[in-house]
Amino acid sequence: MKSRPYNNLVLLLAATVVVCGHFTAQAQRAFTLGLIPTNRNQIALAWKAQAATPLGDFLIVPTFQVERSADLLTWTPVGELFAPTLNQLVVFSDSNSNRSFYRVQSIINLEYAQMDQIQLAFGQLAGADFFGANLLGSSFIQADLSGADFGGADLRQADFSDATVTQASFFDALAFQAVFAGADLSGADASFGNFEDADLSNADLSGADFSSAILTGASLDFAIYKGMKLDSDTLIDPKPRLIWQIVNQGATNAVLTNTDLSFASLIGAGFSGAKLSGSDFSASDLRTADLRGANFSNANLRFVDFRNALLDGSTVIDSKSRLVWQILNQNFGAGRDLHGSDLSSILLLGANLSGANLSNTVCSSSVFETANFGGASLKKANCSGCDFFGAVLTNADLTQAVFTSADFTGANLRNATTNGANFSGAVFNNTIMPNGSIRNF
Amino acid sequence: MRKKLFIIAAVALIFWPGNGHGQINTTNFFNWETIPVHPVALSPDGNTLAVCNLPDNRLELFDVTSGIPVAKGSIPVGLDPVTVRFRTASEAWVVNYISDSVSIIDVPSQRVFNTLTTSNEPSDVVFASSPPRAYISCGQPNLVQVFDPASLLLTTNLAIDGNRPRAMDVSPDGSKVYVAIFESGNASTIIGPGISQGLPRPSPVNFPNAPSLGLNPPPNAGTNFIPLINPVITNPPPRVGLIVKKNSANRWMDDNSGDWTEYIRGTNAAFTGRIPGWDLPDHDLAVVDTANLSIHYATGLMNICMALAVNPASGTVSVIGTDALNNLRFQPVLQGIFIRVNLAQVNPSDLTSVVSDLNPHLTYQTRQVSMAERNKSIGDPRGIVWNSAGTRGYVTGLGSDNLVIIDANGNRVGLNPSIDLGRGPTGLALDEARNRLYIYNRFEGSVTSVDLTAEKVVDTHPFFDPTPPVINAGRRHLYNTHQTSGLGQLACASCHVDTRFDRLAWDLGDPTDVAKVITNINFVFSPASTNNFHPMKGPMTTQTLQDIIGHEPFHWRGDRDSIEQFDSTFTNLQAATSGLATNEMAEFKSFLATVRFPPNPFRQFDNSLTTNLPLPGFFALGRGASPAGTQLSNGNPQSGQNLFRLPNASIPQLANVCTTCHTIPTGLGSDRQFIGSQWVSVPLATNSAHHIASIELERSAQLPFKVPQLRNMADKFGLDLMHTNSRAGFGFSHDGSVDSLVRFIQDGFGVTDDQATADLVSFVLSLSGSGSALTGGTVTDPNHAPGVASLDTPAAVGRQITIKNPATVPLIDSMISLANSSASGVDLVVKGFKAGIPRGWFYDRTTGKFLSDRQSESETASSLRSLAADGAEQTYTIVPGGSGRRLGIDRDADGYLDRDELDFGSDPANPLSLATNTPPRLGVVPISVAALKGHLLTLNFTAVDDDIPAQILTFSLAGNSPPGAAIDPVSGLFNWIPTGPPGVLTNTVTVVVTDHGTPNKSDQKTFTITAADLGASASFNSGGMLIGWNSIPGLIYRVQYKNNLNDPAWIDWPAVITATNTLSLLIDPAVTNGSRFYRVRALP
Repeated sequence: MKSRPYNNLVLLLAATVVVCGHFTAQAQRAFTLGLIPTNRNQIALAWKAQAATPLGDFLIVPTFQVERSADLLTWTPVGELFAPTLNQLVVFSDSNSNRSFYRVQSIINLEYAQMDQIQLAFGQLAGADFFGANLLGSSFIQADLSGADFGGADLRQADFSDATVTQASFFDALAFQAVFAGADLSGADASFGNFEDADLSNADLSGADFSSAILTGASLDFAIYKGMKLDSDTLIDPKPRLIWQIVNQGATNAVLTNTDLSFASLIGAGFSGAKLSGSDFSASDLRTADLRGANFSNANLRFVDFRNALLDGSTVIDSKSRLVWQILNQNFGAGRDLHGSDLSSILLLGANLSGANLSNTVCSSSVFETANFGGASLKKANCSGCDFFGAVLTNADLTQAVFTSADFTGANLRNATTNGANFSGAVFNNTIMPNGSIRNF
Repeated sequence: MRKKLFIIAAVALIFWPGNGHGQINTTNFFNWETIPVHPVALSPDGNTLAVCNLPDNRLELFDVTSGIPVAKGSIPVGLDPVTVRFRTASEAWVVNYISDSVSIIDVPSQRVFNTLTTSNEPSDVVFASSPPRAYISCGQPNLVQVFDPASLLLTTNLAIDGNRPRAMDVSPDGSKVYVAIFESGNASTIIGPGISQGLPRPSPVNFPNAPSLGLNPPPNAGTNFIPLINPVITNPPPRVGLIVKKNSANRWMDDNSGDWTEYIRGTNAAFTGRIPGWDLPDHDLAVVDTANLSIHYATGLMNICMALAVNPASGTVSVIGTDALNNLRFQPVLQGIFIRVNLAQVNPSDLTSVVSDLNPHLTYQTRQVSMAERNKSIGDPRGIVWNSAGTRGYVTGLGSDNLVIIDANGNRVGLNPSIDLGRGPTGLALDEARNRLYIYNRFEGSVTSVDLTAEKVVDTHPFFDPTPPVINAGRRHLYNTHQTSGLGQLACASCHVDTRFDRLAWDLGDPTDVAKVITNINFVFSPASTNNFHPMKGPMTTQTLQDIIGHEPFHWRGDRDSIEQFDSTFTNLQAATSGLATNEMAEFKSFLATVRFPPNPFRQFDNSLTTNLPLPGFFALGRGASPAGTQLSNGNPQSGQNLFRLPNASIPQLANVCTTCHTIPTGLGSDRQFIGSQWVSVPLATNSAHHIASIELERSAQLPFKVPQLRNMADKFGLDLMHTNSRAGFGFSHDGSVDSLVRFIQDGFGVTDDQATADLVSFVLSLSGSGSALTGGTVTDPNHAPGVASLDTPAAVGRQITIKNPATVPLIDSMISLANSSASGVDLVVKGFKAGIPRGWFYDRTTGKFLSDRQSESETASSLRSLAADGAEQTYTIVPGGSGRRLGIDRDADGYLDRDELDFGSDPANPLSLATNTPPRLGVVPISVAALKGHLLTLNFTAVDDDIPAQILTFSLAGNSPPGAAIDPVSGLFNWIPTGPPGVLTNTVTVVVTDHGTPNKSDQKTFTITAADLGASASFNSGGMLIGWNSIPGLIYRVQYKNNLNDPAWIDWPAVITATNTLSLLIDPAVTNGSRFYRVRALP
């Protein structure tokens, strides 16, 4: 347990150091600090109180505390705590004949607040104190909550999607069924928190402390476990605990045959020499993983991200996956004759396949986001359901290829040959078409 | 004979019923196990003693001018009268706990002339202020109601910040009214998991930096456990909550000196679900300023404040009761010492107090003392009174059946360690003029008189107590502190106060015990196979004992299969020298099976569910539209019932959630399993134990729990984690860590609809009461299992009204309408007057008339009302169905109506006393008697008569008796000297015994007397002269002889001869050769 410091607020506002003169400093939460030396013994600070939350959200106007320092090391509060209304001009004057530095804390203190079901999405709430608050069902989508304190708070069904909650405290928070999808919880203290059935998919949990926390039933697909702290009291389902072990403790020479490791972020994991036959790595992220000497026989490697993974000749892996790895990491694709290959259900993000002969290949359902197919031949290729988001297909030969239900959002097909190609059901969104037009439908 | 009959009658008064005379049983006697509050009062003139005869619903009046109570009247009042106070010399107010009323009595004429309706569970009344006001404490709503005693209008309701304000007294100057808060708590509370939809939130007890160092269960002796955990237990103990208690320095401490203040009221309060500044004031005594009705409180006295009295000399307020040591953990630690019987002396000026132990002879260092020492102890103190000098206080012990005397400082004094009283002594009244103390013995229906000089009981006056023997026999096992504890100061009822509870949680785990394997349990959702009943179970709130029998298993976890498995509790927890014997446990069980829930104050008069129930004290959590902390809107129990048992599209969280576990009408789980296409009863286990369903819930640490009943939810209000001032330290759920039903519903099931929550809360509050308002399950409905039966009470029971004129009264019409329905579960009785005579009536739904207490006399509703007048008031009372005939017209249920009995001369309050003349019965009469002519024949005849009061019996002889024969009319002694010519004469005699009834009854028996002459003969044989004669067995004969007839005198044979046969013989060996003359005489 972390002993909760009393009213220990994170300083949000970078020190505004002014000895004399007249200038404007940009501060967090969008307020501008003005400093006016009225005479040699007195100084005035002025700023306009702004909302920490966007229009339409629950209105939070911070309180402010001016602090003074003679050495930029020791800061002393001076004056009262300001609690202005929205857009109120706050003026602070100080009689002081010594050379001094001033800074203003923007403080959001909502300890024990009753704020169920409120909107705080996109809020600038770094360092805010929500200790013990009731925030059931509240929305913090994409909010900046770095260093915020949610200790002991009720966060059930709250939505922190894509929020920044780095270094925040969720100590003993009740976050049952809360949503943290895509959120950055790196360095957060989530010990003793209850995240049962929460959605932590794609969340960055690196360095976060989940000691004695409850993660039972939580969705942790693609969550980043690097440096995440669990202990024996952490309640977590077996699969994510295993992934956490692999990420943080490695799996060198481990026997993990027929194991479900799908939808996992295994970036940098050490699998060298591991026995992984029959295991399921579907869609898992093996970037920078060490796969040397690993045995992937009969493993399910669909949609695995092999970028920067380490493979060697002793790695036992199916030829398709090895080809994918080669394309991604050895520039094996460009200008290569790969006609008739099976490239279905793979992930080739940013791959260079320019000038490659991919005619008659089976690429169905594969992910080619931002891949380069410039000048490549996809003649009669089956690319149904593929993801060409941001891909380059300029001058590519798409004759009689099948692109049913494919996604060409942001793709560039300028000068591509599409004779006889089947685009039924395909998505064109901000797509540069062969004739150079941009299409959205 | 008469003496013998009188003895029989006296015994019957005390120990009735026997021999099948009485018909009072649990079908016409309803037991709410109410305990009196102030049941004894002496009139201002000191001549009349009034006593609440609680089980008989009467006020008994006694003339005490002799120093010994002499009965002078018995006045029917409301149901379960608990308090009587004289307002004036001629007016007494009787507070009726179940009737929610006050019967106002004109003492000289011994009649109820008005009835005041109060709020729920009125307990005590005092009079103070100028102008005069009556202050009435009402338990369940935590009110003191203030009435104008002249107009009987309510002037105001005073909200008491405490649970169950009960006993009251007034300062000597009348400026203050003191109110003892019965279930006041003791400033202990729980750090627990509360409620959550999924797994329980990690408890602060688990925090490494917490005072527990993160150890859970936390040690209780440094880093160790006392006693040590049994090493044979393989499963780790469950992680549990922790009880903490506020000390005198306002620090919240556990039993291992851990300071949890920061977690209870400090910056870390959120971790325990509280808010900073949270506090538990522990109000024990409310002090009402009668001038401005402001209220102040004394705190820190004890957790059950049972009675109080003001010392008239010092003004000090003396509160007596018990204090629980629930802040200590584990059964072996608590064994025998977990309750203290305390006296708190409160300074009225600053409300500071001194608390002392009323059992100073106990050191609590040992768990058992000798019986002699135990008998010195006082337990369950319920009555206190001070003498006028304030130097002597007298305290009764309901559980210890005794009286102790204290001085002004609370020290035990007196000639004896204690004075034994009757069973269940409660209230008491001091008669200083006669140096007497009068005490009501609740459990036997008597008044004991104590001589205060000799400090001895000088009289115990029994009066009619209709309590069925099944209750009396088993009750002692719950209450008796001397018999069921090692130190004599505690009993089951110390925590299960009045068969209810103490509103506390206890950690009665036993580290030395072994895990109990879960078997034979009817699970709704089964737990892991290894999740057995660990002996370190953690804090559990005390559960009520109301209506538990037949609803096995017991305890929150369902870890006791039946009541029989609590036998070890008597020794292991209470430190009794032995458990109950088999027959005693059977008595205990049978008694518990009679205790029912009282009428539900949230139902409507006709027992239906209202559609608009205010929910004061219920606050929104902010989950829904209502801001946190705002008053919850009124609930609709009818809608709540639908939500409880039916899917609702708008609230999917509740689809079948409630009734999956909680069946209607009790809330208990089903005792059936769905097999095939229907619910099938689980076969009874040993001791006829049922199998109420249990469930494993994530929220309860994955431990199995019995699905608890829901009929006393209103009794659990008080814990409030949302505000700084909490009335109780424990609330809902097994460890009491859930502070409100709103939180249970919303946080337990994710409901955010505040109106739906209000509806559900209002329905749960309305659950008790059974009846057609509730929709239970059926054997074929897989979603709604049939519920088990509920021993509760229709809402209207006890309702009263007194009228003084024949005008139509809507309430009476409603009462009649309700009583007309056999499904209503109620009867209607009326007490009033006709022709100046107290009378009773019972509404007979088959005829639609009021049957009177005289056979074959009835009234219509209007004709009955027409009898009402000033001085002839009528009081209508709704009573439980089945009890109306007894309560209305046949008090002792002997089949003879009350007025008929009085007319006849029999006792309507004695089932052995019948309004009929039972014939006397002659004792043994021989068929034939042999007599000797000329000799006096005496025979002693006896007879008995069963009538009460005893009849005078008279013996006589029928006309066929021979001349000269006679019988003493009183003693039955027959005498006659047969005479007549020689030869055998046979005479027929008929003995008659006749009582003095009207008409009188008699018995007679006929026998024959065979009178014969004394014929003798003599003859020689080898041994001498053989003399023989016809004899009558039993008669004494004298043989005389002369050797010569001319001798002047007959010589007596040396010994008389008592005849043993019809032929007597004698051999005179001296006559071998010669002559001798003999004669034989029958001696008188």
